[in-house]
Amino acid sequence: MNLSWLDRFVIFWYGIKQPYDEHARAVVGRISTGALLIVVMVEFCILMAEAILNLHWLNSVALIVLFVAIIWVGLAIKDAGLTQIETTAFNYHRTLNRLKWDSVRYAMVFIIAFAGTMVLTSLSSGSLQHAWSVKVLLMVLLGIVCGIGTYFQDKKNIRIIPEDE
Amino acid sequence: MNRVRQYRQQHGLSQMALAEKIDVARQTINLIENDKYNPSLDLCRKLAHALHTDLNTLFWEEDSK
Repeated sequence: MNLSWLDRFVIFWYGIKQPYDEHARAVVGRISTGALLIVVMVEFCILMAEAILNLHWLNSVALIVLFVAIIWVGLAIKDAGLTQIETTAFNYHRTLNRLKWDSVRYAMVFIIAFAGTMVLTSLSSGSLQHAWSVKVLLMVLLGIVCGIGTYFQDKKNIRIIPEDE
Repeated sequence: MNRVRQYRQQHGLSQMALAEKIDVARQTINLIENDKYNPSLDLCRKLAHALHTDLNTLFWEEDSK
């Protein structure tokens, strides 16, 4: 099945482990549409209130609503079983190996994204020489911790099914 | 109820083996077999092809005539 860049991003972002077939697409589509409608309505009300009543703290509320929506979509996708990893006892070690590589990829993306952001932020403030290597090193360590954490989290999501199921 | 489970078992295939054959998740096969998901025509065709039968045999219900 051909996957678009958007599909790949959704799979990576929500940690979908099942094959991204038409059922998975339908589930993700249904959850996302619901979340999008609610977010648009709530954000509209909040931003209207902010503009009319001139309450600037409502900007933070709007941001929190977005954050909650992202987490809610992630949990709904997990509840739908799309993040579950199914394997047979025979293929267990192969699955673990795949998870290791997935975790390495996840850690690499984390490191590149956050370390890059830090370097760019330092560059824009004109203080690149100021301990940027320490920040990058910190991000590398954090990335490794995240990768290891992802691996053990995914390992918990493995469901071993009988060979004949 | 469709006859996907019956034909799969006749061919000695597990849900996972059939899922791998037509490039979908095992859960999808399970949902189709239990009538909890209506597959697209394309997926029905793939299922029929993988199980060496036709759409009518797999999905036609006598009651719906």
